[in-house]
Amino acid sequence: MLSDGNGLLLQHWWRTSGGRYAGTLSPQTDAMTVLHQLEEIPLTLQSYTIHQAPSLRGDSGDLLRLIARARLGVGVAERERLALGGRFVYAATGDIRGLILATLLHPVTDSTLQASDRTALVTYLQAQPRWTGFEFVVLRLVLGRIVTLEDVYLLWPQLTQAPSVSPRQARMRVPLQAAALLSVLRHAIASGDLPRAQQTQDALDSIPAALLDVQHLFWRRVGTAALLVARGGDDTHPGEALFVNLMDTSEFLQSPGLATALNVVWQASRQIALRHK
Amino acid sequence: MTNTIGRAYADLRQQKAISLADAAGPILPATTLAAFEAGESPLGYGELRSVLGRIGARVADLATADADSGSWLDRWGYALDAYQRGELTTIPEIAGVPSQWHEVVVLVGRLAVVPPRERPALVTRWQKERLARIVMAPAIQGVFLHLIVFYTAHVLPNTIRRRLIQRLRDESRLVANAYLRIGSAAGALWALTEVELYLGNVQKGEELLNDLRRRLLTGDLYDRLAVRVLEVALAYQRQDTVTAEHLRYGVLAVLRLLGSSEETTRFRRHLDVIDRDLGGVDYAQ
Repeated sequence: MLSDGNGLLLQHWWRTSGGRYAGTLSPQTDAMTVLHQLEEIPLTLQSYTIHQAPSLRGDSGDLLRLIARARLGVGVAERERLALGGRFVYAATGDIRGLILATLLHPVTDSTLQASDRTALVTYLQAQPRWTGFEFVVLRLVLGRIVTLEDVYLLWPQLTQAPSVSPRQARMRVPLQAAALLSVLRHAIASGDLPRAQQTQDALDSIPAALLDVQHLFWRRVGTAALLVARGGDDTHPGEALFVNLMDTSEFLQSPGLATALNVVWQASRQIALRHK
Repeated sequence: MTNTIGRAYADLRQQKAISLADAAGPILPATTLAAFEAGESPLGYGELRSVLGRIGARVADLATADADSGSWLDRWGYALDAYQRGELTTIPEIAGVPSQWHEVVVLVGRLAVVPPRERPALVTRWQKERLARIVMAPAIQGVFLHLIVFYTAHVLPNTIRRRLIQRLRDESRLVANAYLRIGSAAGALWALTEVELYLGNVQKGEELLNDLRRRLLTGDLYDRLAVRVLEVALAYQRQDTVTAEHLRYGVLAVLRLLGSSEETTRFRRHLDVIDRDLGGVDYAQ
């Protein structure tokens, strides 16, 4: 059933990866393993995950945890095997989770396959009329690796969709939305794209503080400071002052890693301001 | 623990006016689907997807279903968190709680609205024994266990608390979503640390506090603030009121900068209780 373009590319990839799997497991076996694991994955439904958690023993609940575990807990060869299994699942069934698993565990270097992955992921995300949580996480994870800042324009309606009327569901979904927007903001600032950064910051600022997690509130303030500094002129002083306050905060919270990350954004903002002078 | 996501499925099915038998089709007996909808038994994910397909719905539709859907545990966690943040003035009755947990859910609700020092007086000896049995049962895990420990740590016997600390130390620090922070292993360990500090076990409290600090990741800003709150309690127990006041000011200044009135309410309320109970200062007045 490998009838689509990805199936042909997959066959090509399988041939070029050659005897690496010879005498061990076949990619079809890996695909069965991945399929079996995917069957256990509730995907977007957090309440279902929570309910199932006791019977799943620990953290084996969802695709993203599976990816995190595979990234941390196994070697390169194992990740490649799982990724290939994921590609087979995607090619054979069209289950996007197989492709997500593959692209995140083992990004390809072949430019044709890269372009195919990018199109497939953007098309999938674009086709989901209302993002429930999972899509935000996927975008955050693939942005800058597979999906580009330009692609985000296509996904803007879903990315900035207003939260649900239910406060509980909004508090479940909005932090994931904020994390995705912050990721877009970070990429926009890093690439010096001020209009996109401002547009993203405006979207973040439109989210009620009550729905955001503390860390997202912090990074939202960092975004404000970064844009003030990057714009330069009269905005420089309030931006610098806000950065100083945020640096004090990271010191109070005893997080040197946070201070380092903050400093990177601070310096990037100053560089943008210098370029725009 | 039973699966009450079935309620959301039942809502979707009824909205589409599809009978139970038609929804179950050849996939599973209608009685099994009825039990799932009633929250009496879970379905495997594959089966869930199949019966969703029978009513023309997707898994994502369940997640966006009515606010009253979702598991009772999730709604309970949300209500407790919303009360802490001042978004609810009382803890509402939670629909769909399985009968065997109804009493403990009501008890936790009663304890959640009073300061830690007043909690032991609200619990009978029989209830303490039952709580101890529940929290030590191997089958009781995850959010349910953590929420109970968060609110009942002050009424649990010393031996049970020590065993819980050992057990929870090895657990994942994963938080399913922001409103279930108090239902995480870190939340439960935080409460167990607070008990030691309240009891004046400074050395033990400090050891647990260091353990919490070691578990922190760079981005865990909420947990970092929560650790600072425990440091206020530690400072009071060391008679160091200057440090306690400095830390209190710092926590509230951070929240002011971030602009979250809800989180400010949560942390200020907790700081007020610690200030009153351990420092003899009543900032709330």
